[in-house]
Amino acid sequence: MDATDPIYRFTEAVTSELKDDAELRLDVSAEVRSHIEEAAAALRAEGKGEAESLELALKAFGSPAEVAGALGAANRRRMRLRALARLAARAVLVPAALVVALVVCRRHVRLVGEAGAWLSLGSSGVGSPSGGGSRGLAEETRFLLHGDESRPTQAGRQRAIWQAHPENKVYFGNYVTHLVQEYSAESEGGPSLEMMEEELGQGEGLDPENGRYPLLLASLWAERACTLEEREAEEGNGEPQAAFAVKDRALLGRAMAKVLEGAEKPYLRTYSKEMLCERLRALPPARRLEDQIGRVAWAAGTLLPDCARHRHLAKLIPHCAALLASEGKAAEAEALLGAWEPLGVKMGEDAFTLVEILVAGAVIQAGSEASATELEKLGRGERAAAMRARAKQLAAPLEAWKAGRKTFDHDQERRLIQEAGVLDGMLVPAIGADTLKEIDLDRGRTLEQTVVEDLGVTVCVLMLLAVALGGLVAALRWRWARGVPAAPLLVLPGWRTSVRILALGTIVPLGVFYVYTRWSGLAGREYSLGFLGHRFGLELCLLATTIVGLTVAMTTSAVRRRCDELGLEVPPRSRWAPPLWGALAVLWVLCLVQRGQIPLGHNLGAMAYLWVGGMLVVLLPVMVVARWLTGRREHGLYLGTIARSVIPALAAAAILVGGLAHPYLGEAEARLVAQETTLSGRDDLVGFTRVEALLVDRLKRQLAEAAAQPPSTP
Amino acid sequence: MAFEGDLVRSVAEPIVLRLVGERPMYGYEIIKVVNERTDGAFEWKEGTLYPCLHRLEGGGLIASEWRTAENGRRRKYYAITRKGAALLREKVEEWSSFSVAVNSLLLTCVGA
Repeated sequence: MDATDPIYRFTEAVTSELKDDAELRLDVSAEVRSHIEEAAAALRAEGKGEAESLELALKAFGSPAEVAGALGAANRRRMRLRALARLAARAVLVPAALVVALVVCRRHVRLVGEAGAWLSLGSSGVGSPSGGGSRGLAEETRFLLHGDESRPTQAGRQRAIWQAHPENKVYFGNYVTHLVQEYSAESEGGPSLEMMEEELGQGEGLDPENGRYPLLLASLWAERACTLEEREAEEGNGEPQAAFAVKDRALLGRAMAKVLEGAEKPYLRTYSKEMLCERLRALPPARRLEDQIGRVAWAAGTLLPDCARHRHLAKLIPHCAALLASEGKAAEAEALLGAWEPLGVKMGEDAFTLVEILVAGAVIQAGSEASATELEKLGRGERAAAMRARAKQLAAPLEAWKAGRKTFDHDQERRLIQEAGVLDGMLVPAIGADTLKEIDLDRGRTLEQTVVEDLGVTVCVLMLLAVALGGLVAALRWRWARGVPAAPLLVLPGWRTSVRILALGTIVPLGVFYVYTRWSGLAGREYSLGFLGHRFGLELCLLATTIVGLTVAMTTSAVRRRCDELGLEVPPRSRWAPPLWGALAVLWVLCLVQRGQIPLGHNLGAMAYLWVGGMLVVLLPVMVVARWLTGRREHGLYLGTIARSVIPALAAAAILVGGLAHPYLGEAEARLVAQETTLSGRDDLVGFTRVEALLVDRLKRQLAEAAAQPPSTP
Repeated sequence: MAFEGDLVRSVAEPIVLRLVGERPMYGYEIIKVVNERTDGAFEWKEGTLYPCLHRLEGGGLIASEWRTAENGRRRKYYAITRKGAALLREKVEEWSSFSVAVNSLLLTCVGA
């Protein structure tokens, strides 16, 4: 652009009315220049001199002022439309892309924050005021979840719920659960024994058929009246030793009477399940994995203080019976020795977690054996044998399950862990492959894969916006750089080219990935993230890199062509592009040949996949932006124009990726979460996960069947 | 014979549509063809042609494309669009009827 060039001066003059549209002005200038050069060349061919030819060619064009006016009028409508398009690209596309990014990212920020808050809530028990999982809930729901948060103790908060509904046995049971949790015979800070006696007495009045309150009272009195220290079995002596000492004989007698009273009640209910169900029903419906995790964490925080107390009572009973026998009260002792059975069976009936079932089993086994031994000492060998036979009958389901866990096929276990979701897979060693065989493992695995895919979408959207931000920085860099002839242009490719860029750069890669992962059978989606996470992660990084790379490459190509037409100084094509595309292709092939046999976290190769994926996601934007920033000064206008013009395309791609994939994956996730009804608040709740529920349900049913059968003969 | 400016301008757009409808042409070529075919009667100035081309392009009647000629010179070629072709057919019919009507009046009067 030489100001002394007559053609330059002329084109500047005739395009002066187009100054508001720099690209159009350059385009018309190039066209006018081409015409004048053509006309002058023709005149030279006719034999005229160079200067004369140029002068005649310029003169033939007409008066610059008149031509400028005519060109301005002819292009006014077009300039208005183009200005609107540029405004839309800057003021609509870019903000819309930022909104999409915020929506997409918010979910993952929430996933981490919410899960952390729920987990901390779970560890501190239901009703913790520090729980972040209850934010945004209605006041009534918050009260049901936390109680009166202004009260200093957890039991006090839960008491407020019961006080609001004094006839409600469930709320009272929940209050007592927290009261028992806070009570300590040694500590002076918690509730006193007198208070406990008063409240448990109130429970007996409110729920007279429930054996829980007499049994808890028996437990508290026994704790005060005697001590029982168990010691490990010594070398050469197979029997564990126990030191039983009585501190208050009268109180112990009252405790044992309460044991018998509680054992005779029709049922034994803590109402922990009912309270949890009511709270779960009050929560908004679960739509996301984090909601599901939150519910499991919430449920896992359920207090079960009765278990330890009932187990301790079952251990005390034979010692108390021996004491009674030593005092010559054989009939009372014999009656007490039969208490383990109703205690264990009724605990099993009330159980809704594996822990409770296991404790019920321990009460049955330990209580029955020690009681049978005491019966033998009393000379009731026949009854002792019958007691052992009955205990064996009742403990059979648990014994069968434990035996199954010891003998299951390790290959099968490994296969199940590979197929199950991370949560289900973690339970395989504890629960046993036999249980997992009965349920569909696809759902948990697919749910986790869907959430990770959504994370991949977020990474892709962030990559697109990071490159767009880099484009803005590069455009500003060349806008203010010395020696660059003009500010970078915003060149918008035609609508057909734009559609092609978005279709080939975004929709086709997403579509191909969809078909590859859902329909091809090559993506190894039959393996869990724990085994295929490395390949899964690399594939998502490759998808994001491919979308960003294609969008940048195709937009750059279109804008480069346009810059060439406009007469801008264009540098040679980058030599890095072909090797980069080749490397991407090689990595895709590596993913295809990698089978899901590597446990994530235990293999350097697997970690290398994730490392390469992470490097791609970081390096591609850095390389692209570095290319725009570090060109030669004479190419500054071109580089700035490319960087500026790529921004709307990247924003549109981010909108498409976030707008198409995020809602689709969200719906798929909601559908899968809705199918998980274990913690939906149904009254038949057994267990915190469907795997545990399946096992607890089976063991409860088998225990009830065994209890309903007549005692077997020894 | 030189025609009045207004008269030339009124037919400029149909003429350009007609020419770029035959084959894609660039501005200098259009001027040359017009001057050749009218034997210099239409002495179009570029200042008339380019606003006309841009107006037509802005209206979607013609589309432009930069090409590089064999001699390395870059030229902007214009080609008619479907919309332009439809309008051209209308204009040709209109002109045909109009010229018949004008002829029937002007030429009869002159003959009388």
